[in-house]
Amino acid sequence: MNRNVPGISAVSYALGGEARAVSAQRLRDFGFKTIHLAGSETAYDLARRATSKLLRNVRLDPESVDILVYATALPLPRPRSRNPLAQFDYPATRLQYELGMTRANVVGVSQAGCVSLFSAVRLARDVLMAERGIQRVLCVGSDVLPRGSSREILYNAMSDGACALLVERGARNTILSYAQSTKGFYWSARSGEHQLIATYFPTAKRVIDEALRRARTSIDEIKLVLPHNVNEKSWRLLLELLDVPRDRLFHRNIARKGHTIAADPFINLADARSIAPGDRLLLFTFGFGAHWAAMVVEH
Amino acid sequence: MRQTILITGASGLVGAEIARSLSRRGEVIGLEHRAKLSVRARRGDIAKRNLGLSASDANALRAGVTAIVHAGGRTEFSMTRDAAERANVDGTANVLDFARGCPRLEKVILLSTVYVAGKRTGIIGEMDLVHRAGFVNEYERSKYRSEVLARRAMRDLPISVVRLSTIIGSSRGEIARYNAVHHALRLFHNGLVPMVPGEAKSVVDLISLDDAVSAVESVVTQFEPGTTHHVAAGRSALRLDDFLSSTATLFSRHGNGWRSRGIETPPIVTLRTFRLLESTARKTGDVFLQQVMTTMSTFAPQLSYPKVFDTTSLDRRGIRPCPLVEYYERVIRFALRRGWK
Repeated sequence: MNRNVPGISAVSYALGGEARAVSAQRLRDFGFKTIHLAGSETAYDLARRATSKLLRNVRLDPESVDILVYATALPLPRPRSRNPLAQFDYPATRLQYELGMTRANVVGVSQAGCVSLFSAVRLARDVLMAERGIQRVLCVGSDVLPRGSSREILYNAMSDGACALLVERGARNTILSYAQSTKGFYWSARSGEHQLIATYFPTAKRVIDEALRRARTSIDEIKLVLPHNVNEKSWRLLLELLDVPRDRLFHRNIARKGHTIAADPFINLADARSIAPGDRLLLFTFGFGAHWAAMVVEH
Repeated sequence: MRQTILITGASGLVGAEIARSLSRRGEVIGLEHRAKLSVRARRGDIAKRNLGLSASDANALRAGVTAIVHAGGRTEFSMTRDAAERANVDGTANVLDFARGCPRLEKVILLSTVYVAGKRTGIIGEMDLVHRAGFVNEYERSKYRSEVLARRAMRDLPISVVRLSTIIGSSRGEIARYNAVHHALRLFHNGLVPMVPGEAKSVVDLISLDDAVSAVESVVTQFEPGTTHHVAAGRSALRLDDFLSSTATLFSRHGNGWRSRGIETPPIVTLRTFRLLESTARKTGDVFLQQVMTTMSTFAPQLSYPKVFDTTSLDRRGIRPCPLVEYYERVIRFALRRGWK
């Protein structure tokens, strides 16, 4: 552990409370068994649940949080009121207030799809390295698909979920590197689906290779790959491209938890048990927009 | 003595050019069943006995023919076995039968493909034929079987075989007919190729149409019975990784806004990984994805069997195919200007 380099010291998450078995055969063939729907809870409710849990678990004084970064992939729900001021009701500042993080500056991150929480962690890391006075950054990501939405997106079964992470200097999951590629050509998620599928694999490999290079780590030194929970077949292909054996992918949450929009790699970090101090982990995700992001972390 | 040269497949990409080229050297009669020719034509069909000619036409033709250039057949990689056998094996058998009845016959030139080598790897010699390595598609298999027939027939007929590599265009950059390689390049240009099968040693052997025609003309005019010739880039073929990166560079340079789309150069993967991609595409049930994979699958796996074609006989004749790097940019510009049509 390097005392000066930021890392992720705590992770807590909240999934939608309504567990539902995946019935579509194609999704089951692609590795999904159960998804979690928010039901009557909103994205804010899940964010509050995840953040409260984190504050409780680490016994963190909420007033010690310097910055709160709130990440969303989906647009905020349209306010019911016709009063234009209702457009400025922000869950981020509401969370800061309701959980007593009264010293925290608040930043919102959006328009990065499933990469939004990764972007939040990246910002947290960069701020901690740039500003000596900042000690703790709390990153929260939460997304709930609108009621009645299809739960299949490009061969993936979607869950609702939120995740809260504490990023601080000298923490046990040191962030060794971050790499991202954004291809704005795919700004519309509905067009160019086949091109997106084709470019997904080589771009993922390139971004992962870049993250490894920046961390001065080879793929062979990675103990565990913590994925975004896209389907098993897609991961099988990407692992072949990376020349990584399947037993180094933490894949069991794909079946059990489905694919939350932005929280998967960090949920997987929280759930992975077979990690020892010094192990290097590769976190990877992809978001519509389109963005590919990878992070190398040392436990 | 003035030559009378019968050319089968005279409306095809190579046959048409050879017919035009050989017209300077003798009377050329093209056998056709599909299209109008620029030379004197007889309506026939190599898939039928007597080449589909009436008895009297066949006899009249046999009486005068001094040379046969068999360029006919089908070249689609996606053919079924039956279709490939009918067009290429039966077609060759019928041409050889016809040839046996030609009293003035001096030479038979069979156009084949270097990919009769199928899944063999390493250096492929010009006289190499029989092998058990298998084939990537039915086109390769049918051309192999037609060459086996021709090799046997060399006992009683004056035959020379010319194996052509894949033709990418003319040295001026013109593409007269788009083949599987052009379709794959179009898919790459459109950002639809996630990966390409191959190995570090894989090369992409491509030749120009003019080199193919010059080489065939040389074999016709300086005929040596019982021989087989490779018309290929051989040792000067581009490595697969260099070919892909050159293609990407040319697309960036000449494709309007291509670079800003962030299309990646497809990585080279093992055949196992490529097959996994094929099966995953099938399981999605997406018709378009499956069509893309079919386009690639009929020939791309050949890249996983790295080989270099020996070109000793061309070298001996002083024929050196124009290196791809000298005209490839013109080919790509032509394709992009015409929208791959």
